[in-house]
Amino acid sequence: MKIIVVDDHIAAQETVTVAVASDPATKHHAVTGVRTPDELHRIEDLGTFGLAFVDLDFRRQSRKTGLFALRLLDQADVPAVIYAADDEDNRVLFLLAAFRFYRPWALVSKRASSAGIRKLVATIESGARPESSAMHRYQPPPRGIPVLDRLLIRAGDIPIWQALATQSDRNAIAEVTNVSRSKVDSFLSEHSAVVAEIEKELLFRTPPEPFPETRATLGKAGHAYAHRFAPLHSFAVEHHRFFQDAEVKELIKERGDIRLTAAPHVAPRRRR
Amino acid sequence: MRTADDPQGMFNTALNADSRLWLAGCRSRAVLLAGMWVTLAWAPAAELPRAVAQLLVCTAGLLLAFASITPGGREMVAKVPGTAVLVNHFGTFRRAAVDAPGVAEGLGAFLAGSLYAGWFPLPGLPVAVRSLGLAMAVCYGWEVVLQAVIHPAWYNRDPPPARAMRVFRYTIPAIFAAFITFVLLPWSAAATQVPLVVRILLSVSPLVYYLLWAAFDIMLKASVTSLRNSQNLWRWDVWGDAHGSVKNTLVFLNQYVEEPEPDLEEIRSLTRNALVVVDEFKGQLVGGRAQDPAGGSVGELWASVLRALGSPRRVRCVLDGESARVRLSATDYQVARRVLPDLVSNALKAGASAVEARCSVGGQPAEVRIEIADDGAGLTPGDISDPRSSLRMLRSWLGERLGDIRHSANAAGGTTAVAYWRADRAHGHRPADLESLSRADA
Repeated sequence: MKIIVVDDHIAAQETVTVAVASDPATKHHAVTGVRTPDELHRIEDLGTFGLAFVDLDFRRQSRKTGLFALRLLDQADVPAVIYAADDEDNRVLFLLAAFRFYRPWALVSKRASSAGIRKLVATIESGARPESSAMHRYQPPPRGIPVLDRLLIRAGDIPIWQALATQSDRNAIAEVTNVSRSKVDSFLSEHSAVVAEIEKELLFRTPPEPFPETRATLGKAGHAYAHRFAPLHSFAVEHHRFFQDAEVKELIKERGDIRLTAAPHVAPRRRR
Repeated sequence: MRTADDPQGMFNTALNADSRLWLAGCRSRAVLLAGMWVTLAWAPAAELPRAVAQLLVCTAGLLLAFASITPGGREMVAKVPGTAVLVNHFGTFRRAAVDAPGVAEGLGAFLAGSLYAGWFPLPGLPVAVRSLGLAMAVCYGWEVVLQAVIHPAWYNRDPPPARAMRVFRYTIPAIFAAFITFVLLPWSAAATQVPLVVRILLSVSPLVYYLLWAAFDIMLKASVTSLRNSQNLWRWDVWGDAHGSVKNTLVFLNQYVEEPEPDLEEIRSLTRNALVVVDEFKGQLVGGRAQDPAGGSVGELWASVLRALGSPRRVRCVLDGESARVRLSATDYQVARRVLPDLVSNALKAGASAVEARCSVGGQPAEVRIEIADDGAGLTPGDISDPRSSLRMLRSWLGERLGDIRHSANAAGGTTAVAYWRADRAHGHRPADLESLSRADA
């Protein structure tokens, strides 16, 4: 089986190479690698690969992210596993998007041992899906609306998330995104619950203490605004690269808007 | 989230803004002063000496103001005998205090205004000239006091302005308005020539300070808030870069160490690689080194390798000038980053006092070639054949890229090591590892 490692670190490719070469049972696999997702374009026989290890972040080498690599691999019908450090909090949304749109076969930590990599390769070669408890957290639930869909309900949410990362005032956000102030307020109201859910369930953080009543937050509306704004602003800052990713924009555009009232789960359109 | 809770940032922003505002204010006051000098053309000849004397006070004050903010201005004034005390009271942007240029300009503005109204105005001026001159004098004083109201020292927290001074700041506009009102009372027949509405407007004009002050504070806070927002994003970006380079390198090192039987030479090699990565990251963060997604230059890599190995001062290590300009693709750069530290390290371990390096990319198909010549003790056959030596591991590693390492003894002593491998596709060729895959398929 031909394996391709899509990672800006050549060490990732080395690790997989050494892992499969160090055991007679997996020695027959041939490993190659590319440093950026764009380089997959240049591989004419991409469809002949039996497995791809895909990193999510290539900021040192490319503006493209692992989501773009997953798109190309999906088009070429190559099974892919995410090969990333899932212990980094700012990867969470990329992981959610990867499992929402592509159903990768597994989530493999870069700390995985050679034996773990060999076992994974052997399982996928046999045609079975490997047991990967790490990825369960990011997979869309069997029922209900996936977390990512509640975070990005419509394509128009992306510019507001981008503005939330760079601005710390609702008026500035409204000006930058060319929407009304009340639209910004309703956006904050609409997304505060899912952000709290991500913080609690996926990032294992305790919700922030409510803001103390101050002159600036006097009044019910003001208090609610301050209470929602700070956590969402921090969230947008931490994940700003996700909201700026052109591939995320494309995926949401292709998916279309979500109606929160109806709750049919839309399964990933892609097979892998 | 609306307010900027960064006092030092507020002070720094005010400092940057005021140093420019101060200069712009001096220039606009120079224009107003020139206008007042022109009004003397309508003054009676007998009154000119005292009129000139009055405007000279204002002129001296403005020159002192220029000297206090112009680079080298203070030193120039200090050359005049007896001005040391004056220069010591030029004031600073850090401390709120009454300073010499401010007093001189304030007195000068009062004397200039007294040419047109007040207790001893110039007789015989046309009404329009008198009104215009008075307006220019008031504007002159207005600007002087405005700079006191928005002085950066009010925002300094080290040391903060005294409480009495802070209270005084709130009273400045009211005091100045009362002062102008008092001066513009119809003390003389000449003063009454200035229309009442003009005198009223000029009298209440200092109250506008409160609005300007508020606007200035809002702009300061907005600037500091924008800066803080940018810093927050920057911190996450830097952490992302640190993760992408330094942490990932260490994760792979750790992953290898955790293997059942890690090889010590490989650990050493990976550690050297990590040290080079740390140095590169530092260069990107504080050294102005550009992050090049397409790869990197051999010159920069060489400098990082020497710093990471800690030997650039002990041993004469030289990279050929032409080689320093060679640019490698992202993949080849990372291969070179593994190879170069190991070869230099071997040369240093051999007791070399001089190490010379060359790098080139060429041939058909293209190969990257790194050559390290040293004057050390030389290699024994055992060094090369030892299956656990770093050289054996490097050879095996480069073999996957259709490369190898060759050693030869130098005529004058020492060793020359040549490492080469098939260049990455960025040089217009099919990548070495894909070629090896094709061969494997065949």
